[in-house]
Amino acid sequence: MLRFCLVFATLLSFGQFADHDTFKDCARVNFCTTLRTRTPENKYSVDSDSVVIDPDGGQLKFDLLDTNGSDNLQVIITRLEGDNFRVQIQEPDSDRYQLQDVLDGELNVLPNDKIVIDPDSYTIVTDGANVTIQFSPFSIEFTTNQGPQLVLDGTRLIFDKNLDKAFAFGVTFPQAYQLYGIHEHADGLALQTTQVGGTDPYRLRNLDVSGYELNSPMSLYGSIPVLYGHGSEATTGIFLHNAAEQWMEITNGEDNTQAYVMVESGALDVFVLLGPTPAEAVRQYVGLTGTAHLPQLWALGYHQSRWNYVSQDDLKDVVANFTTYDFPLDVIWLDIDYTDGKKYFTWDPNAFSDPVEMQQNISASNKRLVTIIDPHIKVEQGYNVYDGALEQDLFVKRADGSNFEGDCWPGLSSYMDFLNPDARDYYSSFYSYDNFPSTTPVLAGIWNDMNEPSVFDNSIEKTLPGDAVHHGGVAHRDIHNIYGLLHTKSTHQGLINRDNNTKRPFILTRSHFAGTQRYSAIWTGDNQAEWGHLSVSYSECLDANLLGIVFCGADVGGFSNNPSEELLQRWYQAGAWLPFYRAHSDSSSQRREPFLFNEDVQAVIRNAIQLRYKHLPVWYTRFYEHTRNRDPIIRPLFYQYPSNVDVYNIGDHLLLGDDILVRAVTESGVESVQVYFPGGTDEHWISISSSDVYEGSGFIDVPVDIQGIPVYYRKGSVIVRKDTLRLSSDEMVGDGHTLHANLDADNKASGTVYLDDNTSFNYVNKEYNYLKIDVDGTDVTLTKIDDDANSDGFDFVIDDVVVNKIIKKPQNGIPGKYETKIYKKTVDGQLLKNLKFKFNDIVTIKLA
Amino acid sequence: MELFARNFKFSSLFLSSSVILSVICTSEVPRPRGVSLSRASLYNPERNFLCFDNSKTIPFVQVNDDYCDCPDGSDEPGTSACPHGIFHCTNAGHKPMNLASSRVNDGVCDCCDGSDEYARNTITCPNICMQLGRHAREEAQRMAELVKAGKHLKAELSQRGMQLKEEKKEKLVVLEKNKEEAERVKQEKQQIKDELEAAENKALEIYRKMEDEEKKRKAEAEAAKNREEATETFVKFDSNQDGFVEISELQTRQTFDKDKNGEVSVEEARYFLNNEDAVELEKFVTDAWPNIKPYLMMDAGLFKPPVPQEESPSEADDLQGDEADEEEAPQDEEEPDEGEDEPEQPEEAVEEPAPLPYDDETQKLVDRATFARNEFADAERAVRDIEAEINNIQDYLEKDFGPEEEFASLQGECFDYSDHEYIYKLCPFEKTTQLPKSGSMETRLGSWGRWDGPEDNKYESMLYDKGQSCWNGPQRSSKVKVVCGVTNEVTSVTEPNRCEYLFEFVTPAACREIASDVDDLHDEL
Repeated sequence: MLRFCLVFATLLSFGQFADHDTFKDCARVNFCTTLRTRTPENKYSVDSDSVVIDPDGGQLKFDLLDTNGSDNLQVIITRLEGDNFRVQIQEPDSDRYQLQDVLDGELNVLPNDKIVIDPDSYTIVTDGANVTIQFSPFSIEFTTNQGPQLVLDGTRLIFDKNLDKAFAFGVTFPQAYQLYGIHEHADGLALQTTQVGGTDPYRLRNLDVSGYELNSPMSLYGSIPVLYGHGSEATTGIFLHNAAEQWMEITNGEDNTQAYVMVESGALDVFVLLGPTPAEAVRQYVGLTGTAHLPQLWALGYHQSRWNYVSQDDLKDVVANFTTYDFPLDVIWLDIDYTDGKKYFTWDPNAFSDPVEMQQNISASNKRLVTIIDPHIKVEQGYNVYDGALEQDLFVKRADGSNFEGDCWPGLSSYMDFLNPDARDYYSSFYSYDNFPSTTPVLAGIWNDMNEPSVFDNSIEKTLPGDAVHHGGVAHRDIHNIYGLLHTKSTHQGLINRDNNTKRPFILTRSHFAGTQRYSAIWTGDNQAEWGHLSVSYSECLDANLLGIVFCGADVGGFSNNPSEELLQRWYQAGAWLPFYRAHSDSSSQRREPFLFNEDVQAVIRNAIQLRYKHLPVWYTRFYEHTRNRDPIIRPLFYQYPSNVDVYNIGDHLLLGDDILVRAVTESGVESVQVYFPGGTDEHWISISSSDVYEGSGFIDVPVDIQGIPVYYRKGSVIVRKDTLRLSSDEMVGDGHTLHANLDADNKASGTVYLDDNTSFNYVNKEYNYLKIDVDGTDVTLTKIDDDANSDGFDFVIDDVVVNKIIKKPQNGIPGKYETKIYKKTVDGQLLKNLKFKFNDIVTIKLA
Repeated sequence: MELFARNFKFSSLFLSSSVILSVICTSEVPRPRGVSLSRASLYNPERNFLCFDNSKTIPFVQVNDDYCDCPDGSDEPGTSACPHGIFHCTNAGHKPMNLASSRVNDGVCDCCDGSDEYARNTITCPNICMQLGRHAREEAQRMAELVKAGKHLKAELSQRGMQLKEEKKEKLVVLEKNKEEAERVKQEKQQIKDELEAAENKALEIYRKMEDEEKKRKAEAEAAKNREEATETFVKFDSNQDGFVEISELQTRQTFDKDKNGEVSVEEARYFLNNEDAVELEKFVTDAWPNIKPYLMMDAGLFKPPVPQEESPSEADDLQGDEADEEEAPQDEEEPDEGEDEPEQPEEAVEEPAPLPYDDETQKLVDRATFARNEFADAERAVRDIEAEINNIQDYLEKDFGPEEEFASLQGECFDYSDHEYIYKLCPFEKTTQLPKSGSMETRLGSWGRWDGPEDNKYESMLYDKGQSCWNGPQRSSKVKVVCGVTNEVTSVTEPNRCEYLFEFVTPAACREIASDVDDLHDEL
């Protein structure tokens, strides 16, 4: 271990600042410098003779003539289900790489049943939208009944033979004030305006950036090229279906919200999302790249990781201490050092001499194990993974045709060519119980790291060079940003095969792209133990949620350096409200497992983790609903309250579903924090840690102490919890639920709950119990939502009902009061927990 | 998976397959599930139940009805209905235990009698208390024997330690006395020396004067010789005999090709003429000659320019260590000279003139003074030696070798431990080190710092800190957990945090009576 620390120490961290010598700004990237300063020009016009309408195929095709005659282009506009459109522009004889593997299945193309032909324009007319192709100057304008929404601006369209395959295009959002999206940047929720002489454009190129900076447009580990333009009236968006390096110049402001997108190579292939609400725009996008499948329940519990638990005894001690000190825990993690010399799919024969016994030990307290598996393969004759890949020719090549070799954790390594389906199959086969020795089902998930991919060579930005070659002769630059996606795709298939499709795979990946949500959760990479990094964990995961990757978290406590006790406590409290909840730390940091602190600190952390576990039914239900309706799990305020311009920049508050408002405390030593209560005076927010009630809209200074962060239930909601404290999610399976009903002025509240086997894909075949819960005074009515669902075995058991009733309304910023009554019995005197309802229909329970 | 895991958990404890499902209780006093014997009287089925905090009275049938009535959880000792309840397992045959009520029916067998899991049909918890009890008793027995044997050895160690301490103390008394005596001698010798040196000084006064004069005379002769040499050279150089040495006259002489490019440039020549174009004799002697002479000497092989000294590799720098050597860029080469091989001015090799011989009388004074000086130096050294020895002993006496000096005899010894990669060494009260098996560079993991066990027994743990710095990291440090055993031995070394090592060291010196298990389970009210 020591040895590796020495050799790679330089590459790991040190310094709070990203290495700008290694990671380039726009000025050091040729195509970005050139394209960024091109002035708009009237270069293109539509050749009206070329227009071809294909009403059945839903396509409209035409040519663009370059005034100089040298760079003529062809445009295809396709009408898709849900009033989305796809615009593809490229040279008529283009050999550009056409991206695959990203979209979720086939697109649903709708016929163009009405096209209006004018002398200088064509207009595709649908129920919801008009798409007008202006001939000269060329533009494509998308209009809804709320007016023009999005314009692809021909004057900023640049294709130029002198620029090799680089191109650029501009989009304006006439109704928007603010742009959001383009994960992943360590930045606030709302995108900053960028300009020459000011902030660099936002870059999308997946890179292993250690010690990354905050409020920066620098690339990080993942790329999701989706932009939303948001205004108080409408929200629209674009998805650039392209995995090459991109830079986006962002301009925000009324009447001037636009983006200028510069791309190194690949195709100009844009999906236009017409909203008109943030929720609709997100659904439209997720419709293209897919939803996350349900995670197994345990994956929503608390995860404990460190680089590294140094031996099986060390790991077992840590797990045992969680039990001894009464901290719930579902998963213990192993970083790279468990392997034999960083050869993945092996175990260190000394420190992990008996992995099977270790897994049994983990399982005896109902915990699970996740281990890391990276995509680089140690160059070593006799290492079976290497030998087989070499023999079958499954590695990424250099431009000269030899296998690429570069340094990574094991030393000299080659990189699986995941673009090759054979390589994906090959790699996935190593996850089987036979091929990954000494593994049992207790090894329940896999961590795919370093998959940008990372190569320890600063001269090539720590990743594969653009001219490296993939299967089918594809240049790496064309597919760079999906390398990690394909890695997780292979792992996902491996886990599906390993368990014969009986278990929903759990994967965590660092590198990601549009569509990653179908395979994997993400985390925000190697963050730091600093308050600013706690804050940015919210904005990053909110952003990811708007871009389809709902299962997102950040290393609790910060990966590098040592958090103060206060910061660590605040991080546990805030992290409990991000979908993925894992503590992780660098090898050079002090150990910080929660049981190592004094009793006061332990109590605070224990409460934070227990609060997470009490809300597991909420998390699980929201994840299910995401599979159903594509909605984010956590949401920024503007998503839920789009017409409220005051909330556009708020990134440290989140809503879990519609009903729970959380404000992270990201300030040190404070006795109060500013909490924004949205929704106007009709909306009331019930504190879960006091008897206070707040109303919207605006900031209110709310007192806080170290015991917790501000969390509120929305008036009118029913929050379904499990309040019996256990030490893992498995142990909670038999426990009943506690309904927290937050009555509105009419004494009503409602919510939903979802139950299934917590493990399998049977839910796809409707084997679940999904209920609507309506509380009216002391009547609780349960309604089965899907008539055809089979809820056998998934009885909904209620232990008790906590009814919160507002007795004094808030006024002028002064909080109101609510009181709580707990019901455990029916009017007939029966204990609620003894009622095992079969819900074939509607059941009303009368409480007393 | 669950089933497999649980099977494992118990099979490893050699359990029989008999399954005893605890129903209400396993002892003869009837009481509700989860209630300890000492509290049985508080649960009287004949009467209503009063919550322990006196907040409520409920009908007895509501005890353990899986509904939490009492805020303190006392009405649900046998279920998980109350958030802060306590479940008691009797564990007949082994030790009784109190559990948080959340562990009741959570699917994990916590009590060895299985009484905490009765409601889920997915799990059955067999009673393994007898086996565990036996195992625990055997273990306790083994520990007791170990402690007994260890304590025996420890007594010897203590005795040796105390003896050592006594010896040191006695030695200290002797040394203090010796030091006094040595100080006295030193003073005496100083006095003698001072007196004799005064006499010597006086006698030498006259000789010093003579020597100064001699020196002066020699210097004048040297200057005259130099001038003569300069004049000769002037005449030789002044080839056109115009009474000046000019640039052109120097240019013909290869000696003055400073940059060794094959020709003597005007600049080079001017340099030697002290930036003049031509000099007459007087100027030549005073200004030009000092520049010219070294080159002539060099030419004649009489003088060599100084060779740039190789930077001697610094001794293994304690703060850098092995990794630094791996990483460090090669030391910058000595700055190259500006291309010109310029000799430094040769030191005017003025040899100290041999001292004039003294007359017999003076010589005698000098000899006596010298003898007195030597005597004094010896006396001074004797004092220093004693002081050093005293310091050593005081250091020793200040060290904490345990309440009974039981750790004293470990000082001066070292204990090795090998894992697959390194050989670790613990030298108690001195240092901890690590040596790679494949290398020879030893890394210091820490120097003796202090005992840092918990307050009730600080001798449980030693801290060795301020070791070699990790590259780009903290200074290494080690903790040594000290546990009772019959030998002195390092039993494991790990690195739980980067650059923080944990040694486990067994020694009889750590054997002490095990605090008997205070069984507060019956009286936790």
